Amino acid sequence: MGVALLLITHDEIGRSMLDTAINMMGVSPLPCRNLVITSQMDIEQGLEQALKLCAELDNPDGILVITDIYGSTPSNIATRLLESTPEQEKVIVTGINLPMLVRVMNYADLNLSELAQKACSSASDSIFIIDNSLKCP
Amino acid sequence: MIEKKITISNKLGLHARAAAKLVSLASSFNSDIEIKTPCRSANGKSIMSVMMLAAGIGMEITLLIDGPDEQHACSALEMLINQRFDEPE
Repeated sequence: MGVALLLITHDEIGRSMLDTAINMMGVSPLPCRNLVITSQMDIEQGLEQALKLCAELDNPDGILVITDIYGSTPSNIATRLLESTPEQEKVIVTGINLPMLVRVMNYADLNLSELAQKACSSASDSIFIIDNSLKCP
Repeated sequence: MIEKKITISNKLGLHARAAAKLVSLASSFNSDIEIKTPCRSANGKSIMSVMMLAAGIGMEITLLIDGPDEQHACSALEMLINQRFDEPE
């Protein structure tokens, strides 16, 4: 069945990036859900919605949860989610970015632990300063 | 091992969607697939790696394919690239 993906981010960040990544890839190779956390939402409301989305995913191979800023409400909801449902395997990765999502979709066949590591590797591989050394003559 | 030189001919070059198609096709084969430009090389089954090539229109790339289905892989990838990834220009 493969790993499922749940994004928990501020406002439309996750949805926008997810739509773009899926558009690039043509199709999403893994089941995805996105949770929008607005400034009006508290942790309990967010957790309730996150639990519903996890129940929809109901993936025996686990859920990769990607959020944006560690310590923010979306991240805190993700952490509460982890604590609330220990029977459903999850790994949380922070710092969502487009290369991360594209990489996750590229390696969708990996197990949860490996996929989380691939997501993290985008931090070092895809964030850099563009300078002349990148140009090919 | 097969080595094949091909020129990128679509207007947007090896951009995200084109790279995704190429990687998806490459990943369907068992052979190892490497893509080289004059400056760098990429794992043909890794989309971020392929995108780092930043291969634009007119750039000659080299496919290095090694494995049991290398002939089939080479033909398929060559066709995809020469058909401009099914893009109109």
